[in-house]
Amino acid sequence: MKKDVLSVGTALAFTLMFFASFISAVMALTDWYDDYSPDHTAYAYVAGAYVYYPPPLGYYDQAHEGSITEGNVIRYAFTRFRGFDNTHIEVYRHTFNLANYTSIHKLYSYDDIWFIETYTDSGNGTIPQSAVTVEIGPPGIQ
Amino acid sequence: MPVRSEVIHPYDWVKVGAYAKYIWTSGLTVKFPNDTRLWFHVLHSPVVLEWAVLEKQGDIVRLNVTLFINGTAHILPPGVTVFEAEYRDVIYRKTLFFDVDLYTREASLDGQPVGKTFFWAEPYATPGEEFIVSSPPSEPIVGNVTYVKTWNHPAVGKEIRIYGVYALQPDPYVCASYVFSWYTGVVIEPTLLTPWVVPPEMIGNFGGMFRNGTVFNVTRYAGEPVGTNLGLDEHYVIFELSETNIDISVESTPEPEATDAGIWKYLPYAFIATFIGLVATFLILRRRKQHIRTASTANFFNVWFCQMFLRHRKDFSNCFLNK
Repeated sequence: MKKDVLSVGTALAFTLMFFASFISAVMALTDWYDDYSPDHTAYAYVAGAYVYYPPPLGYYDQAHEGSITEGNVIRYAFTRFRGFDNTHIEVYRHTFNLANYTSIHKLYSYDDIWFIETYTDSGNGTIPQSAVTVEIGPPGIQ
Repeated sequence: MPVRSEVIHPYDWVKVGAYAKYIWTSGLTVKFPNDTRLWFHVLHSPVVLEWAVLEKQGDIVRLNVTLFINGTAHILPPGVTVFEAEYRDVIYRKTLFFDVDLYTREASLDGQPVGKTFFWAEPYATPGEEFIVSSPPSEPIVGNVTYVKTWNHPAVGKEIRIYGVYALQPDPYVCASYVFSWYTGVVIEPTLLTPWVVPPEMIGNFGGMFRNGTVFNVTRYAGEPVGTNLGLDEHYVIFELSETNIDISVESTPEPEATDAGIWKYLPYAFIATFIGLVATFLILRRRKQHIRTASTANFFNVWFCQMFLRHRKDFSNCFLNK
């Protein structure tokens, strides 16, 4: 009897493990967005992967990239990577200076991130012209 | 040497009615004193920051400073998620009356000192100069003048002379850029900062970078009086000048050019003109010589032929007749 219970328990554990990995693999979703500034001097990219365990629905892996495509940075240039939780409280923020023709690419694994943003400003032209913001969020938000 | 200072003295532009408007075009968050936040996710028009001179008494200038946002916002009381939050069109307008000392830029709100503001700064800055952009009572935000240049500004529609200030400090963290009019000191691109202390459990999640590439952790963000008191919940918002009635354009009188440079710049043209002239001269002379030589040879043959014809004309005629 004891062995039977153990066998059933083991089978159940294996079944759960299998389905957990199956659901995780199949339901793993990604989302991404990228854009250039109106004068094409700054580029921003953001991507996130999230697993659909309702709830929560959050980006557990975050990818950011910011780059500038010109070589005449007179004032400043930077890219800024941000992530927010589901109350829109900022959970992380990293700011990187950019030199001429450079890019910064970072991967993060913050938990419970619901909204991701990359802002890049080439700092050469006027602000609306030389800056770009891209963001992704879960369905219903973005 | 400042050309314009001969025409307009610094701060002469500070008159009742002088104003400047600035815009920002991305979504942002503002916070009420009860910690309810408005996350403007969609903007129906650019965010506007405006200041205008209301009064001037001695060295003290009273400014009307307004932040205006028109968009669709999530209304987020503390602890409410974005899914539960009300989401609707909101107009946010906040006006403050700053009393600013014209020369020190120290400001007060309702009689309470709030620190140094950046609506204008000292004109005629030079690159490398250290520069206090703003100073909340405890910690000043210090930058450096990084450049002076002339810029054809789209909002002004004319060339303006500007100087740029860049501030980067790790604690409290500041990474901000400012642009001022070189002749008047009026701010052209202000950066609004709000203070924030990173909660202990989040330390390590916030970072900055020095210009040499070294990355560092941020534990505190610096604020300045304008962004802080207007209720922004962003640690960094850079505005851009969109409209002003203050004359910040470059004086139309051209700067005199150095005489030597004036002469030397025509050197390539002089070289080309000389070369073309010489080539033309040589060609004309050569053609003329050839023409003279050809003409004299032809004359010689003509004379010789005529003489020969006259001398032997009978032989010629017989020859033709016999045929």
